[in-house]
Amino acid sequence: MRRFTFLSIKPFNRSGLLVGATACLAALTLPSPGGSQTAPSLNMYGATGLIDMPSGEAQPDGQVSATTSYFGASSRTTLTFQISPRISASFRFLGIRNLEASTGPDPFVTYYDRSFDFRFRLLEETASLPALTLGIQDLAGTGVLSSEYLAATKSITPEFKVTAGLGWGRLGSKGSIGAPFGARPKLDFGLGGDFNAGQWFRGPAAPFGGVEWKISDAWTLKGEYSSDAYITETQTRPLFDRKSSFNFGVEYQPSDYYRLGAYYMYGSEIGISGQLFFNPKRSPAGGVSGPAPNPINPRPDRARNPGDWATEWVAQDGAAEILRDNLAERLKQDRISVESLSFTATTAQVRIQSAALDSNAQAIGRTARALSNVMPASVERFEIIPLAAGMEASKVVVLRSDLEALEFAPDMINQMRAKAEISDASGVMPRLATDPDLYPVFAWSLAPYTRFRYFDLNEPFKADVGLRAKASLEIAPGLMLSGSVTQRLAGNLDDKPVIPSRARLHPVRSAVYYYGAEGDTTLERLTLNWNAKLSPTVYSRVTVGYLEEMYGGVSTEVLWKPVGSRFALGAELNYVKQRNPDGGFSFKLPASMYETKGNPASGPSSYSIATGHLSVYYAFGDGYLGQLDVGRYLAGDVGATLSLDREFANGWKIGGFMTKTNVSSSDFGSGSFDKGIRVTLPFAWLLGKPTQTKAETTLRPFGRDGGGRLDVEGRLYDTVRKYHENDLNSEFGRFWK
Amino acid sequence: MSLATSTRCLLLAASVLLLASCGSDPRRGQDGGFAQLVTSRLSTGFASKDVAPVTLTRAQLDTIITPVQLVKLDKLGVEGLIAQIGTNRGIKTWSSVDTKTLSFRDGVLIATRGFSGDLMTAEAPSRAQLADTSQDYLRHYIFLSGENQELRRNFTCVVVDFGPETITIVERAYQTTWLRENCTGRTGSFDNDYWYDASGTLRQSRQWAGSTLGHVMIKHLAK
Repeated sequence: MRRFTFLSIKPFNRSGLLVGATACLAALTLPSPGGSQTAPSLNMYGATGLIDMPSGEAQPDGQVSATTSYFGASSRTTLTFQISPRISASFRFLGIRNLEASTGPDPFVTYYDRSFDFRFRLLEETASLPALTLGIQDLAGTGVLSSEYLAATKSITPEFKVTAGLGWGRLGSKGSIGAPFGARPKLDFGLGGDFNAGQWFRGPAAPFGGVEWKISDAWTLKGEYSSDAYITETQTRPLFDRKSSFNFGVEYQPSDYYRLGAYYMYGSEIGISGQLFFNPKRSPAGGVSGPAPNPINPRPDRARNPGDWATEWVAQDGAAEILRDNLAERLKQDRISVESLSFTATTAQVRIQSAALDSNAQAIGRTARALSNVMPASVERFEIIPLAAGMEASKVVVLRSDLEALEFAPDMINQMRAKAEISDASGVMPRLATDPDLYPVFAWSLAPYTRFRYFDLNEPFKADVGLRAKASLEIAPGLMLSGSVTQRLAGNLDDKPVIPSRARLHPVRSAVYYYGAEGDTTLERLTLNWNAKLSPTVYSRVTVGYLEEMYGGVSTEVLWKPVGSRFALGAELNYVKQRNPDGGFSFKLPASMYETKGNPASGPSSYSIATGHLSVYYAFGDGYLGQLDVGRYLAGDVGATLSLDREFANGWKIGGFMTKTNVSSSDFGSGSFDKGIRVTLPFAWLLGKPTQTKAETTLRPFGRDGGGRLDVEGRLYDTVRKYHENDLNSEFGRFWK
Repeated sequence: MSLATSTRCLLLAASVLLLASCGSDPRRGQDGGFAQLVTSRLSTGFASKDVAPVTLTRAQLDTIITPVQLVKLDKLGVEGLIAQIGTNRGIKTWSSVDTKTLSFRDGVLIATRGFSGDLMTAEAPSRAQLADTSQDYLRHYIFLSGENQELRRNFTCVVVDFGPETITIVERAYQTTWLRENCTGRTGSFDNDYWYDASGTLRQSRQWAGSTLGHVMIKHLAK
């Protein structure tokens, strides 16, 4: 197994750690002096702002915050990401108690909804100008929270800020000054999930504003005038009494990682909020520690010690094995395995596989340092070929004299980055001195897992915890037999949700409840995987077996990715059969899994499908990654997925995706089309220890059957690109760590 | 509120379980992953106590043949002996038994490795610059940011001569001159202290290694 994922990701409503949980751990690990790096405060919507109103500021680049707030009948839980210094996005789960009429025993039930915001900072605050932000709240779907605004914030003193703004929609519902851009059309949201651009900035506009006074490092006072009339909550249903437009609050922030707030709202209600935040750029551990590297061992002066520079060693019996073993010994502490060592009198070429270090640049640097200690003086050129899941991913050439000269040089990072040549792994020497004892490699692990299912109409999320046993047998580089079994210990994934009827689509994903409910002991995966290089720039993968929890079959993939290219092209072709929900070996589908609200349980007893995609990948730079997949999805629907991620140079990745296929909105159901947010948390960042383990999570507001993709492990792009120029250079400082 | 409560319970359950994880991988050695990482985080060992007793005696020191130094990082609360393991262009690298290293040029700290918040390299004053109290000079420290990018911190420094001071290092007294390097930059300020004996040998120093590591106290145990 390349890496152990204790909290693993599964297709669309399973996942690893919640982001909020991360921040919580971070807060426990590093209590830091209060207010030392205060980010602008957040409002009860989890957006940068006052109490219920937004402000003109933006969070620091990369900032992630998880906010939960309660007031009156409303609860709002929001995840916000500052995508770039100017742009931020929020995803929110809203609950309004007793808003919806019900035919059940309770006359009214909690209304749950999801919403999505987008903010764009137009101006950064200067000595004379305020920070100015344009925001669109709840920009798609049912539009319960829909509002648009322009907000400006200016610091009068470092402790005192004033905000003034103009709002539309909800934020234009009290104290309107007219409708500058015309009437707001009535929203026909259909099945939700589509953009409501026709409404934006239409209808009555109303001013709002407020002040924020930081009275000490930890305490802040806030006051605001709200332009939200709360029509739905006070008139449609009398959920609270809006007596005043003024809100007041106090917030307490004892650390860089959380803030608590209490508010007196609308003259009648008490509100509270809890906010967790962190920045992927700042590790709570302060950085990765671990064994120090081997110091560079400079060679003796050639003129004075010509004997040391002799080349007779090349012909010495057993030289290759001795050098390989010495090298392996030096790299053992970093869990870098030496797959082969080839050499001439002046060049050494080594293939390595790094299993623990979270940085590949560091693995290359450590190998170069070890070579400087092991290879005879005549060897000047070190060629390091890292293997990615058994494939030669690139070739990094480092000159030994550069290593010697730059080990402590003030500009060592930039100079070494400029001097190291990163190229396709072509012109490789035959594999010499391979270690006959290296393969096969057997590995196993037993670890806990958690599985989440979000937004199933009854609950915001449900979860299971249990144990996962994994085992793998790496037969040769790139050829691996591996599998995992889970045993559920506790949880509530077997609570049956209301399963909406699914029109004409086969339940390729929406039957996930039955997979969670029926399999206490589940064979998650059992696969034989073969990775191979077809040319210096073309990589291939064949995976056969039980590929994921819901599907088994054959998955094949080809990827073209030159080492220095920002572009990559891929093609994937799969033929899969849906597995029985019991988690065993069977592919027979029971009739019971077809049951939905108001429909009898009946459907075909097996389901197989050929799916496949053509993919274009592009690295925009600064860690922004784009991907477009076009092809056929699990339900036989045809369409495309567009994804955009921001990957930090420490392994954090936060992004979103959307899929449109030829499934109509009515056939898709709630949400109209598939979309979601995904987050990758590297444990090395959290723990400060070298490990490749990470937790990945995908959050889909609506998990339905259109646009479903196979969740096969070991896709090539992420496997291979980490050793390529763009990725190595982005973290090149680690070469010297 | 059920959301928050169930999240907390789940986290608690997960964290208990995490500690129970285990595994084996011959190529990689033991990788229990999380469990081991958590425990090793709790015991931030720079060098274990029996290797570097706080009460080092001269008799013990005499049994050690290789050159060693006694270092103490107050901020991490660790103390240990380091031995020289390499030299490159006049910069000597010293290592503790648990492979944390410190590199010095003429006793002046240039780099650390094996810590989070390592000092990657530094442009530091020469012996002659430290002896000259009339001239200020620039110092540059290179760290890595949380995103693995080069983080350069620049300081302007001046040396102050505090005059003679007698210091004791492992039962032995030394007559030294105490020099203080006073550095100020945009990100803050710090002091480095050096105690040189009459022959110009650095006997003791207290040097800043960055905001994460804080100051390192070094007793240079040259005989």
